Amino acid sequence: MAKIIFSDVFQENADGTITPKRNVQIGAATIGSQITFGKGVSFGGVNIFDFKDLPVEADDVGGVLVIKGFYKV
Amino acid sequence: MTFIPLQEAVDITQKEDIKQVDNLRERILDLEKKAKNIDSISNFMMWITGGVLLGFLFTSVLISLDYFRYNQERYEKFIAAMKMVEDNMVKKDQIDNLQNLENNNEKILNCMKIKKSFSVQCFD
Repeated sequence: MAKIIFSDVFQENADGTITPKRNVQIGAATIGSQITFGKGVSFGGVNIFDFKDLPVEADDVGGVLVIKGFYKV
Repeated sequence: MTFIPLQEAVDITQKEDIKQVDNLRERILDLEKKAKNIDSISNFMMWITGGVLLGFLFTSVLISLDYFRYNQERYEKFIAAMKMVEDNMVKKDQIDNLQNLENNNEKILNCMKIKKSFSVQCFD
């Protein structure tokens, strides 16, 4: 498990949407690096925008970054 | 730094979603209140406009009835006034006659002044 800064995992676009920089798994949901999503969209019951800019706790499993949690500053 | 595991993150997301739903509900209630207000104001304005129009119609009817009721009387009065004016008017013929008479009188007077006496020749 490793603590990764948010911007290394997700890219924030000019229109306010977010795009993962690599394949990411949250709970049972996997988000491909070509997926762009906006506020209000949840993956695995988690709305990434609620944890924007918070460090991410994740594991790299077979090229997919599996998110285990977030760190609250 | 506090670690938030995934399950807690799910709970946090759900709480945020509930907050948003409550916000939206409040906004909807607010908008419904405003819509009711606007509705009652527009009803009130409609009644006022209706009242003004009715008043205008009523007044118009009264004035029209009064006008047509006394129309004949007004016509007769007008004719009588015109006749009076006509009677008091001096006709052109009368003016010409008076003018001629005055001219003649002046001629006669001048003649008598020249002759310095009452002469029958002045009446030719």
